[in-house]
Amino acid sequence: MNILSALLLLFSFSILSAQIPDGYKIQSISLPRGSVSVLGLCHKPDGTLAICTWEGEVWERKGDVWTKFAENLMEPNGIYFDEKEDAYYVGQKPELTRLIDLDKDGDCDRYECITDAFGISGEYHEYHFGPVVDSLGRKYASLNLAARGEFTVPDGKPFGKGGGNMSYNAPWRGWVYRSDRKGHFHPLASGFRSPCGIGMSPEDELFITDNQGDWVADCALYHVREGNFYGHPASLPARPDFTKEKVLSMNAEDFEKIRTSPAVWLVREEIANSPGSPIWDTTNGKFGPFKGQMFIGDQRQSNYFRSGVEKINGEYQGWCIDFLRGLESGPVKMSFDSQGRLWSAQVGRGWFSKGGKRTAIQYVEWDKKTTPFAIHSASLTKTGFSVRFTERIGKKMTPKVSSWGYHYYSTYGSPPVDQQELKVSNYQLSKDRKTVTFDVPLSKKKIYAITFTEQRNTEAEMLDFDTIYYTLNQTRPVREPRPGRNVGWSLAGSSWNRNDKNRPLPPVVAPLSADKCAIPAPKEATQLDSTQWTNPNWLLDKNGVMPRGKGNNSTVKAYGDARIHLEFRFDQSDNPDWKGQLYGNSGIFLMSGYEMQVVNSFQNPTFADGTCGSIYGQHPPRVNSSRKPGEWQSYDILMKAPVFSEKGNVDQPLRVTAFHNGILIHNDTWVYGEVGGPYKKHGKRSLMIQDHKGTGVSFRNLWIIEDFPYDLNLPAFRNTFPRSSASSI
Amino acid sequence: MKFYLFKYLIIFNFGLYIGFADIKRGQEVYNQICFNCHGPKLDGGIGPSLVDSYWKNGDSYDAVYRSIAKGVTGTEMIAYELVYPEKDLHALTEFIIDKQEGNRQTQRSTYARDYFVGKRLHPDLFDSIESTSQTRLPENFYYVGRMFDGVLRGQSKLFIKTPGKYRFNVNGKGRTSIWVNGKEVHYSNDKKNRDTYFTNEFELSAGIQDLEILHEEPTSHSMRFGVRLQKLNGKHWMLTGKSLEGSVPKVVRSGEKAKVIRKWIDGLPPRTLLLLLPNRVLLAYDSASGKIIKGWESAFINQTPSLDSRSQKKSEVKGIELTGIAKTVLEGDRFNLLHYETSGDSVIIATLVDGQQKEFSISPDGKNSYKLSF
Repeated sequence: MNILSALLLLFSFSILSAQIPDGYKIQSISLPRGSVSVLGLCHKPDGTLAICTWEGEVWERKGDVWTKFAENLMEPNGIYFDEKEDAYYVGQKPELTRLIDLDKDGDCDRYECITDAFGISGEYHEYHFGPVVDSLGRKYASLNLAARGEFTVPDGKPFGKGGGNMSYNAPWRGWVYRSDRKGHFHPLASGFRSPCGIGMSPEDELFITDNQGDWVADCALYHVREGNFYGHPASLPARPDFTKEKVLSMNAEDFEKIRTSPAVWLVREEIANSPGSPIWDTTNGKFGPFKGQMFIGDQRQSNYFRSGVEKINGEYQGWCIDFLRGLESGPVKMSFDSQGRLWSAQVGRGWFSKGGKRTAIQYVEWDKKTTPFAIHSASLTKTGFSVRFTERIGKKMTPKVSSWGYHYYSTYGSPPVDQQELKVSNYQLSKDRKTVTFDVPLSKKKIYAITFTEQRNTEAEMLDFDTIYYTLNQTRPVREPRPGRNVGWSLAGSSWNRNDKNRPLPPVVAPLSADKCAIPAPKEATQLDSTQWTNPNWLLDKNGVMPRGKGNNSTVKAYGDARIHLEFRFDQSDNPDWKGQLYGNSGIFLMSGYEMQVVNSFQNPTFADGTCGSIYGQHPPRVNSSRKPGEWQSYDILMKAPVFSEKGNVDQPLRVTAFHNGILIHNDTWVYGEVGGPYKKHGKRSLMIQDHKGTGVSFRNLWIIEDFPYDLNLPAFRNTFPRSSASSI
Repeated sequence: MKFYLFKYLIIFNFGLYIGFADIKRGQEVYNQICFNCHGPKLDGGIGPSLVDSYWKNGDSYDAVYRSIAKGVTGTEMIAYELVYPEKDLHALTEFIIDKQEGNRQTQRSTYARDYFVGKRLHPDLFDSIESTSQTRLPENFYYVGRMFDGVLRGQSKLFIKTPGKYRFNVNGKGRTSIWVNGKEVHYSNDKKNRDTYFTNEFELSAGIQDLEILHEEPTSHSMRFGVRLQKLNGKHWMLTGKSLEGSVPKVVRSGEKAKVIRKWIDGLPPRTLLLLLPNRVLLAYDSASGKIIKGWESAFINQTPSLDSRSQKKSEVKGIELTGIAKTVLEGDRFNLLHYETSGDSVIIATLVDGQQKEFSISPDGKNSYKLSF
């Protein structure tokens, strides 16, 4: 046998051999006829397994009997069962679709388009992955760039020799979005290439995995925060503050300034090549000693790996480590059943999967007693790392540590840059012999591979996987927040805190001209003249102008669903002390409790969710379309009153669609609660204008249409003004 | 009778059937009954196409004859030896064989590498040792499994309709030898690059030609090798491709209930709803413009087979295109699809038109039309 065939034999052996931690086993499931490539799966609360296939079918499995629920869909790439609505949601290639069985005969009758507001050019790579769902029931999905097309960002490098090939062929490609309900589409974050993994943490944090390629140095796990840009510039033209020309005039250095790095790099070949969707171990120990950790499958590696993140300086970063190898095909989507078994939909079609099979459904089960000897997790210390094992370790073995970085450029993938072996010092083992701490030189934007070669436990068993990879974006600050103040985000789903100063500001766009914004009050509108207000300190002058007065000003009458128009103007001020929230502050309090911010945001930056037009402390406006102080500006608001149950629970939230100077700033926005706290049951309440410290603000031409049905009028209201590119969703 | 058919019969069917059957008679028989399922142009209908390269039950003369005479279990294809005399069945077989063009009767054999080390690839080498596998490929193009570790020998027949100059276009790392009618027309040994080779041109007469392809390349997850036969200034045929891996292309046909199908079809917007009515009329409703943009009768959809591809391959509409079918269902500027459902033989579609909700239904009307109701 020559060396080549010996190597080949070795290679074929290595891809066939399974590595399964002690106490775990893999079980395969027979597939229904015609299910040639399974792309997604989910469990219903009654234990039914549902799958969706590339062939466009949805099947349900009760016991071991498969029945077809729906068919003739276009490449559904993810399925979710909504218990409340008793319906499935699937991410088909052209739309997010709800599948409803109206007559409950086990066969889908109605195919409902939830949103198709994103573009699709027809290029095969424009995949649509999801949905996943947050605790409010809102759906999130991701949109791939095209593999070929006219708008690529080569950054000066010729195609085929490092130039980017992924193309933006249609609106919102390379984005993740949220859809609150039928007809709603809210683009959330940009900069993705092939975001085929999407997962929602138990704390309503969205995570995306992306595939290595142009502008993506390696496979990556991103923590998605609303408004952020994650690195692939071909997606940027969808942002209202970018154009294709502007993107092409920028280079890697410019994009570096605005991009957010991955929370965890999923090191290629070692961990992943085509990572799928993350899922969190919420089984309370039924799946072994990895409670709360992320499990992710990789389509090429046919493995499951684990990951975990920690918040450093207000941002997530963390580690990943292999968990299990030897699946039949390539896992892409996963689900835990009620017994704590981890199921995966696997596909080896299109892209090579080491497992070798075209498709498979398998589950992995833990025997509920055997603790596998494994590296449990890693955490950054101020001077090095602390690594935890699942079991007491035997003889102390100092780990080998190396680090490297990546290029950020238009070339496909990046080799390791500045790779170094690092000196490990100050090794310490905890009393319970499970946690090792040590010091190494730390530097930012580096990946640390920590390898415990030959490390054994007290039973002399070896580790299945001896290397854990930690992505160090930030070092620990000298002073850290108090424990407990460093978990979660107060604004779930968007992963920001209230009034977060790091949240990206809404993009600045030009308002519509004043004549285009001037719309006559309809006949059914009530003019809110001086007779309609209760606070005598707010006086309408002879021109109908009402300067902000002392104390808040409420209407005489109480309102529910309404259409509101008003105009406002900030007094000009040159005083540098009166800036930010002090330059012309007031607020429109819908139903006296939900504030749409009024503040001068023309070249006067403040925190994002305090910008003019924001739902204060919750939602920044989509764009900042402010006029200068001294000029009259307008709000056109359509609002839906919240609906409460008898017990006072929120059945339907308050919703707002609004224009600022003729530009759409809220598109059916879900308001989380009152400006000062959560929802409290109420009926109709007055409209209120706020008194706030700051330079002067005046109002005029306020009118309202009361009891104006929201849902019925929403489609027409969205077309109130001529569409500019900044308004198009 | 054309010479090449004569040659075919002599060479391949000498023992089975001696005589000159009549293609014209074959056509008559075809037009009496077969066209109902296989289409007037043989390109399929209820039954599969008889002119594409996928031959599930074999495409040799014997195999085609057997399918006709004995029928195909589990399908609507009955044993026609109960209907027609043997002579007609042969005539029909010839008629069908006469319609073939491109690569047919494809056999793939694989061999261990060891015997070929240091030797130039030549059919005689292959004849002197036993293969490790021998398979008929119903797709009629060559492929191997993932991580294939061996040497490939392909043997097939080229059905040539137009005589003239031909050449092969070869690419892929490794060594390749191509033989036509016992003569080597191409040899390459590409160690590093994956260059594209155009072979020397050669003459092919109309008729059935022997093709043999010998190829070896380093193991990789999928074979890099590709070869295409080109008629100079004419058609071309891919001779390598991706396997169906045992699954049959899915076909969506009309049923008792109407169906709404979302598939990728060349030339149609990706948000088209394909409405397949029980009278086999298929309508392409573009949900973004509120228009029926195309229609077909006797229609069905050939869904992208589950090929080992990244879904670049589109599905196909089969049927006879109806003219004058395009129609604006609803007037308006902005359309947003709300939902669709099927109710018996009709499809109900709800859409927003400039913000107003509208609903309409489409039902079959006669043999080749439809009606709209609001």
